[in-house]
Amino acid sequence: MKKIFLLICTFMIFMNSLYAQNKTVQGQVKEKGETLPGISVIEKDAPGNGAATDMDGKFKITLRGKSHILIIKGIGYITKEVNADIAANLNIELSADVRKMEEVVVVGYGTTKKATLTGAVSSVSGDAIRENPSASLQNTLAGRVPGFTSQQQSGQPGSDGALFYIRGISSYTGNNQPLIIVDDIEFTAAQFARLEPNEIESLSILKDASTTAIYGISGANGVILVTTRRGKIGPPSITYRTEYSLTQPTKIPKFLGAYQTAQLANQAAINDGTAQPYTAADLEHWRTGDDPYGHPDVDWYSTLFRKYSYQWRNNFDISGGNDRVKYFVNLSMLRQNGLLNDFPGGDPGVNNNFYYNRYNYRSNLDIAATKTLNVRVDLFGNIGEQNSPYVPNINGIQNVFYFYQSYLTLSPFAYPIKNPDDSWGYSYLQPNRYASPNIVEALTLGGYNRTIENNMNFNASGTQKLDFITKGLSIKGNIAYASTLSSSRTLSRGTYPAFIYNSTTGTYTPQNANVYRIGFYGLSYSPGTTVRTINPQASLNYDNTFGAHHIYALALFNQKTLLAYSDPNNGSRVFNYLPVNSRGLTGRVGYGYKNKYLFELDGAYNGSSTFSSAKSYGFFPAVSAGYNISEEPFIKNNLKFIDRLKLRGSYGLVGSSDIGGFQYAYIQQYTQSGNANFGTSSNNYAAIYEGRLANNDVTWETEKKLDLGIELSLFKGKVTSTFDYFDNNRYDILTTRGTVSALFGQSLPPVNLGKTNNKGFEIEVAYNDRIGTDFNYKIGANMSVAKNKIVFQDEPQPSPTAPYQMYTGNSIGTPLQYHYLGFYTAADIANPAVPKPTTGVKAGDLKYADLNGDGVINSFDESYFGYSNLPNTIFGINLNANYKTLSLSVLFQGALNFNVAGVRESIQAFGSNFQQVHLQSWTPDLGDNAKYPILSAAPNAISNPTTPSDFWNVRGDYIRLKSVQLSYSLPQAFADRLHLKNIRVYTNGTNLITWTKLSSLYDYDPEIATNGTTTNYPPQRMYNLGLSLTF
Amino acid sequence: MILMLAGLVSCSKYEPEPLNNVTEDNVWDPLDKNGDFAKQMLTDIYSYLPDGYNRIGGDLLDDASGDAVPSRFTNTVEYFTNGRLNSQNNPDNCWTNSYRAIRAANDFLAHIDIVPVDATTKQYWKAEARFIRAISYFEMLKRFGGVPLIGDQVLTATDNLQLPRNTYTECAAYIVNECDAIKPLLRVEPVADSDIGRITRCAAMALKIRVLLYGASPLYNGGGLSSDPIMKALTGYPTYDATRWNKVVTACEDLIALNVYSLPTSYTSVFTARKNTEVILAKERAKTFDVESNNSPIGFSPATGLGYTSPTQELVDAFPMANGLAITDPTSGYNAAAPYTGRDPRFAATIFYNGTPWLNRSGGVQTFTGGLDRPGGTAVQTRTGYYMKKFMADFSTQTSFSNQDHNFILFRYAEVLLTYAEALNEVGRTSEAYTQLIAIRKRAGITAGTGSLYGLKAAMSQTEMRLAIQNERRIEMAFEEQRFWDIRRWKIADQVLNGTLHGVTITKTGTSTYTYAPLNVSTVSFANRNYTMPLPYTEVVTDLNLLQNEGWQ
Repeated sequence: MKKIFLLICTFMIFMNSLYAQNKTVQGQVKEKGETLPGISVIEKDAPGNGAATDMDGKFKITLRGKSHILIIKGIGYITKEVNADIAANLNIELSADVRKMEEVVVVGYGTTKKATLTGAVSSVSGDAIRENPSASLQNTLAGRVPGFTSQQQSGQPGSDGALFYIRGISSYTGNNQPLIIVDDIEFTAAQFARLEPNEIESLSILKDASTTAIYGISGANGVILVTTRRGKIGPPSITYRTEYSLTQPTKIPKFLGAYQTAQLANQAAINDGTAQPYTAADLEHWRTGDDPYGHPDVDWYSTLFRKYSYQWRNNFDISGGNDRVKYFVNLSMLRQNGLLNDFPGGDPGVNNNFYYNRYNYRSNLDIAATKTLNVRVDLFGNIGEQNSPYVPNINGIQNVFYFYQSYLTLSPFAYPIKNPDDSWGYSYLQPNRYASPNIVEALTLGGYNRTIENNMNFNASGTQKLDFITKGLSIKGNIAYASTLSSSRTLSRGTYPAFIYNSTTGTYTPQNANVYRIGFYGLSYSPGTTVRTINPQASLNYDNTFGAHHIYALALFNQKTLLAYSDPNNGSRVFNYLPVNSRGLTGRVGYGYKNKYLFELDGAYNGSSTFSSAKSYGFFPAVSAGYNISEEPFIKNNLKFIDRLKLRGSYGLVGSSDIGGFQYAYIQQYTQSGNANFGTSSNNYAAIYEGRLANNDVTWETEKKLDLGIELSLFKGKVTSTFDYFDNNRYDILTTRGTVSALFGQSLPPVNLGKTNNKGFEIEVAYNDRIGTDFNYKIGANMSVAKNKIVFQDEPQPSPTAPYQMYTGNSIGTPLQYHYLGFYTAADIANPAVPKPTTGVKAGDLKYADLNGDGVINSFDESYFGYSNLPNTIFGINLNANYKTLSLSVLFQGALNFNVAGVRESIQAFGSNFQQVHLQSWTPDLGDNAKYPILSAAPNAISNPTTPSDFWNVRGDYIRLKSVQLSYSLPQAFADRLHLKNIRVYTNGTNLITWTKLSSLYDYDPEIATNGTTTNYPPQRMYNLGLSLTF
Repeated sequence: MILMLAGLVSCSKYEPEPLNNVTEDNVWDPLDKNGDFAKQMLTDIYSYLPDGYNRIGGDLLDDASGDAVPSRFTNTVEYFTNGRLNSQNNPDNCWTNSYRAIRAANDFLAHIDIVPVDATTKQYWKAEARFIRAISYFEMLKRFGGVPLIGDQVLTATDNLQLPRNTYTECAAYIVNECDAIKPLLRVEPVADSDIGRITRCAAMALKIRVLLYGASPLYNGGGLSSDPIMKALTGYPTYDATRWNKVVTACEDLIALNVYSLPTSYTSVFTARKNTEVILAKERAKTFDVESNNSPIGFSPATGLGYTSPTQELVDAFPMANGLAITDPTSGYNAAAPYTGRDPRFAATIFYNGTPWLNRSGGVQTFTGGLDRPGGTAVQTRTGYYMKKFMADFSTQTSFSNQDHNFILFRYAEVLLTYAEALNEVGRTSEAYTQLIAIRKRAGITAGTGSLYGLKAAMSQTEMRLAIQNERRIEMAFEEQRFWDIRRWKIADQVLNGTLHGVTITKTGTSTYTYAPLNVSTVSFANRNYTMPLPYTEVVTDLNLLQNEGWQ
């Protein structure tokens, strides 16, 4: 791949030099002394001949025609014509077009101006996204876009995409994932993660009813709209960008060494009153390390993991075009390797480490077929290859991080990696340990699992202007095809020998008396799933301005057919390749008077074939209005510092057909399953039973969305601010009735009866200014709060003695847990008045509140309180500064009000390896200052992390230095000498520093999945260095 | 382009919904003369018959009866003996499954007439479904007391489900009436070999006997502990009625008189042979060795035992000597230095003790301290020095396990005899009860001894006889899920389940010499509220007319 890139680069440099003929003019474009990049310079006689200004506003064009008139135009500026002959070096001054300078915002099936937008939309530019080197697109958005919540639970190469939501979550059974539309094609979260940031022009997040109602049945969770880069008129602009990153885990627990571990194990035995497992001599060996084979003490962290893994990314794009054809072509490659060390001794060519390779391609073409017909043809996709080591299955978990964390597989004294004779080491030093192999040997000889995914997409559209019927009318047809094919290959073996070396006698005993040699590799191949989506659309568009009146309208027919084994966003919805059709009509009508009074109606009538025909179609209307107070004369004339002050509001209905695992719930199924035996020869008879009852009325979830917003811009755009308040009521959430007694004797069908409320606000403030001519800066901050509440879910009223066991009224995911009061003291144990669980509690166990006051701690003392795992408040702080071509941007990102709990291998002593926190386990002296209950090999259930309580379920609030970028463009003179338009070097990074409340108990990244037995591959910190060359 | 779109849209011909589903019309098919699918619906109802063995979180229910303790600490079965049981955590909550069985049976009865199978088959099928419905009620009755009776109704989601509990009297009468009604409709023994495991006439009679026995027993026969009269009527007969024992006598005599069942000579074959003359009804299971692997001693390889069940010294001591005399009897010949020799043969069939021959190991099972089956450390192993052996096939000379018949017996003839003896004694016909005990002891392999009394004391008083019968029931039917309920209906659970349960510490002193010392293994407690189990919490909060049993939340 690298070679191909170099070849293409060389070729492009060669091509570039061909242009040096005829008369060449150069110049610089400015507005009020400020240079303007990205302005098109086109020769009037030869419309195909054009150039664009660079970062410094400079351009160079070789003239072909005779008139030597240049047309200078750029979005937001009044187009100007200049005679090229007046000077050798042209200095062109453009003036801003006040009317057009308005920022353009991408909305569903079109664009609109920010000034006249009546809905709640946040956008982020491709440039900002590229400041974060993370491989998965959604990981670059945290903190940048208000209303976008994400949680990155894994850092595994190829699977490190965060979970993400818009304005939190509203459904407790359905899927809360937003709809993702990339250039009119619906993407799955996995496809979205694999998009190459270099291809992205902008990303919008649609949050309220007016912007999402046009998606009708699938818009309720919000919409993410991605627009990719397209060609602009001008000579080919070729950019080659290469980046190299060093990555390391943000946080990974480091465990105590053998000496301390053995001491703690002995302490636990003392606490339990059982025999201490290790003698003083054992401890002495570990303390001095004089018996590395009999008493090994292995630092598994440095043994298994390297200090840094890397990521290497190359982008190569060409864009340009003339008035007939415009093109943007991009090729990218991404290569990530894994955190594991390379272990010598494996088979040549067998890569057992984690890695991920991705190749993205995109060709976006715009063809002006006739003067009124524009055709767009986009072809894009990616090929990914993900590798992970084949690790033996321990307790149903095949994960090297589980090995690393588990005391029963990999304590510090588990075994020496190799014996003195270079055979693989093993031992039975730990009692009751899992029958796990030598992990280093497994990683060397075990093999790998490799998944190849091929994502191919095609998108073509034609827009025919129908100005001959009426001005501003156009018709558009669009067809998109998306497909994902995947397959995986596993090369693995399960047997390899290891020997227990007896350091006293010098003898070797095999770990398994049946294994003395390395087994054969087994090979398995599994075709993965195929996902195919065909999405034709046809639309009629109208947009015209009559004096002060602006009228626009859209009517669109949309049909989508998904063919897949299961819902790509929700594997529990199995379709078995029965096509899932969604179809509908969408419309939008808008009216604006003098850009002052704005009014828009949106709606969709659409449906999905997963519901019974009577309930498959729904109508989702929304209404919105805006009032630009700043356009009123009394403000325009008196309060001139106000550029814009807009009030807007929207209200409407939006649906969500992604209802969780209840596909085809309108069909009553009889299940062929189970059996009974009869007869002396034990004949097995098959059984059928009546399955869950059907509900013919199952339908989508609906959300009533209210959004009220204020947009403010002051002092010529120096201060900008947006504030949005929203109040969303979701209803018809599919729920299995909770108030029906089991006397009924059968599972009940889900019913559309659940209700939730989700309300909150978003605020965004930015200040930008300039000092002198060369230094400008911007400070921005945003904060989003989304608090949801279950309003109704047909939950039975709890017993009068335990009213606090009512989930309804709490936020989705609120844990049912005990309330921690402290640790039992010996006095508490002796005192019968102190409430206790009924069995075996001792001093140092966790003391919980006896909520029902019956003197016994049992499940009736659990209540719903605390926060769920999903933060309800997120914020970002963004600093940008530019000095000439040197620029710095810094992003802090944080999340508040969420809880994280760890169980078993992540925290529990003797489940997890011993951590620092275990050194502070309860002793009579530490009392309530202890950080961990009394150590015990068989702890009382009440003190186990699997018993949920606010002792274990701690706040995960964090703030992190999410990304920093320092970028410098080399002086133009230097670039010119290399026949380059621009050379830019930059360094950036992500997840650089994290401050979190989680560290009060856990040694993990705060975004880690809660209640996990073990952590995944931890999220990564990246240090990246990049070079960008433009030819 | 528009035409192309139109083409794409219109040519999508697909079935609108998955067609690979079995529907109600397939199951109840008026053309299905063989009843292929209807038969499978009945098979599903059979799967609701009560189960046994390691069904409580991997442990036997009998681990909570004082006869054994679970080898694994903090297992859910201990909730019954450590006071942790509450309405949210009952590990033996049969409520939901029982009502599922009742609905399935009602649904079957409501629809089976659509299917044109022949009349006799249909008659059997209906009666079988009714039996399973009846036993499902009984399973609830013995746990909770009276529960809502649904009748023949197939409930719909719009029906009133706020049903109150029926009284104990009503429920017991319903079950007995059902048994009487289906008795003439069921298959008559002997059944074809291929029908072994199906419900027969005598199964209905045996269920009736058990319902009557429970109703006559001290806990239910006016002896309920509830202070509230309504609650007392829900959890038992409100007043004592001695004639309830007479009904038990009659019901037993009815079954015995049919002369269909008898005691086979081998005690162990009762549990290991699919077909034998003693089993009235068993939950038929596929051939497995799960009983062996779950419960046999841990020290064998490769035939690994998990050793989950540790029988107590209390159970061990309940077994008499081979001469039938209790070990406390000075004349029994019991030697505390060789406690396992010369015992009732049922002892060796029920318990793995130190030295039991097993899996061809020289010297047999090693439960002495440090022995292979009691190595110490944190591995799961016997807590008492014993493992459970009952139900297992004879693997004393094999080296690995093989699949065996492990049907779980629900009713067997020996139980009928013991019930008969108990009822005779209670109605004052104590002398007649000897016959049944002797039959059982004789089959067990106890020697006839003086006066052919098989070690029974001559001319026992009613109280002495009651204790003899209780002990016989304990050892004869150990681990068959009888003792757990027997100590409740006899109202002795608060005596036998309060205090310390024991095991033994065995110290090896020579090649084959050992010393034995008692060992405290578990402290158990039993509060009076435990005589009735709590109704599931989710039911009490959803059906607001359900009264929770006394002492429970």
